[in-house]
Amino acid sequence: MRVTLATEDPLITMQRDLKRALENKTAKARWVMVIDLAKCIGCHACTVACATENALPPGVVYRPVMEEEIGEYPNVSRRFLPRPCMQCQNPPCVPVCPVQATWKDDEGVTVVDYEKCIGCRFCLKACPYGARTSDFGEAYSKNTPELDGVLLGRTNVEQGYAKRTAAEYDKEWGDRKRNSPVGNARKCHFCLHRVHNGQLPSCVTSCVGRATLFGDLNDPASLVHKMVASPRVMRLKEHLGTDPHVYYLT
Amino acid sequence: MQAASPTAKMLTGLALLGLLGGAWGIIEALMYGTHATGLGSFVPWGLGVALYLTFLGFSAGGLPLALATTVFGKHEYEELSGLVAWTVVVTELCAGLAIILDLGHMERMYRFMTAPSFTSPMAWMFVFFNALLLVYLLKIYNLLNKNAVWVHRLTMISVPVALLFYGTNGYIFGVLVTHPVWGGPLIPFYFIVAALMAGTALMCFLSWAFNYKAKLTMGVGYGVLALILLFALLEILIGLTGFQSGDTDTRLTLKAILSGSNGLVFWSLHVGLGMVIPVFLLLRHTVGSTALGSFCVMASFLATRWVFVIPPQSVPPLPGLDQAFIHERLALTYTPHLGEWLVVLFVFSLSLLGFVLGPRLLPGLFQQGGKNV
Repeated sequence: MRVTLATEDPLITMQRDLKRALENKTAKARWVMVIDLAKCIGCHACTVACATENALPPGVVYRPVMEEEIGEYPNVSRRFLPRPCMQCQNPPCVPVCPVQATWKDDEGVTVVDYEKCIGCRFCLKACPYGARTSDFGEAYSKNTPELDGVLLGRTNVEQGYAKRTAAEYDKEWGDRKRNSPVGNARKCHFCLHRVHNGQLPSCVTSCVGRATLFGDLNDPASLVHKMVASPRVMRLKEHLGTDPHVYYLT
Repeated sequence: MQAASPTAKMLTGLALLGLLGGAWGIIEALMYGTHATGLGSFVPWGLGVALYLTFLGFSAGGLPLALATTVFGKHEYEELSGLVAWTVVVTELCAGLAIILDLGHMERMYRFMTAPSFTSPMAWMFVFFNALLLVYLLKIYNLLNKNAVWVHRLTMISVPVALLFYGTNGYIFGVLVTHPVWGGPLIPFYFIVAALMAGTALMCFLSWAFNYKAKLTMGVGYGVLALILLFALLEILIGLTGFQSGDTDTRLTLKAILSGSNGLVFWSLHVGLGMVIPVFLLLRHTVGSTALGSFCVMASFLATRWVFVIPPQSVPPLPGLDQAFIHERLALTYTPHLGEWLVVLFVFSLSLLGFVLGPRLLPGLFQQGGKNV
């Protein structure tokens, strides 16, 4: 029997899809993510890549990977379920915001305006997926010893890595201290700042098993459009009517 | 200003001591925001919200009084109008302080006025909070100026405004339909009853403390008794429907409320001190026991709010989510930091100071024997 191997890395395909979506001036893209649970090996590379890309402080996570042990010895297996923001098309987190600080943009991604958010955390409670976290102003340098040297000195660390705020939403947010996004609700935004610059989200590029796919659902030729039509597709808590834009292949 | 009695002097000293002790909590909240709290992303509402809801309940005394005088024609209770109006203002301001300090960016409060989103119950809460405060400030002004016509009008206006305000606070929780125990149409009504119970209990205790007629205190006491029983009935209904619904998260949440360390708070403080002992005391039909029973309801009301706010957040939105990324800010447990307790001390002391200073600053408001309306 002749075995045919895929000739193209899905990353190349998705990169081409992304370029086509960005060049399409007639229709706005509708970004979706497809996660193949059979390919996820639970390496947490996406979690780490996301935290690095978005300079997430301790206690803030956009894409945790949940683990589940199934069966009993000797028939035991593990299942991994990455959980980014579901980018619901009927997001319960949006209407509860009392000050119009969060909304679904015209590409179907729910975004937060850090300069408008008052930090009431109502949206955190409204999200049925627990996809929003609050930035309590933690820093990895908290317990760093104050000693001489670039690597060890807390002051040096605070002025370096811990000071850095990522350019989320295409904006430099400046020193953390008590400035936004400290005190705000934060969430996965499909790395829009990368996507708008022709780069795939960091969780997609870092996935060693190519389990996470990303693209424009409005493009019938895109990889995600094809994958969403799979009979293996399911979405989390679909009965709530939130219409998530993250699809899982079981 | 009237000369202070020895009791008033002692209470003023106690309040000032409490304010001094609790000041660090306020300073810490202003300097470090929510960083200074024990909150996390799975338990983002903690002691600050419970404290807000406590004082929100205390502020509800005006509603039963307005209903008694305007709807049921019990005009003898109009004597309490000044006391109750002052109570509403003091407790609402304390509630406001508690919730402002709980925000991640309190300096952006102005956005409630410049960019409100009226799909959010919280925006409506802001509207009715201020509306109720305004109604009672105007009522105080008109009570002091003996303007009976406007006092009556404001009392009438206060009824729908108060119902909407307390209902809206329940709506904040009720709208979270996917959240076990909190979501559902019963919750706004539950909130109104809870607020009425606490507000009436405070009114009853204060009428005794300010030496109003025993008959008035006893009459309000019957209201407290009825509201405790109604509140208990609602809690039983919520519990029974929750347990029998078959929903795993709801059952886990109810178990979290009824057992463990939260269970201790629920059974001893909320049920024991807040319901059983008050019912026993209120049934003794003496003015002293009525006042004491009402005090027990007040004293346990923070626990009543605690068991409603904190334990229901101990169930993850997705199974295993709390284990996917480990950090103290992503835990399902919550222990308030010292600063949060100091804020509680500060806010309670502030309200005590308000009640002690009230009769001295505005003696006309606390006149007894006359009809205010």
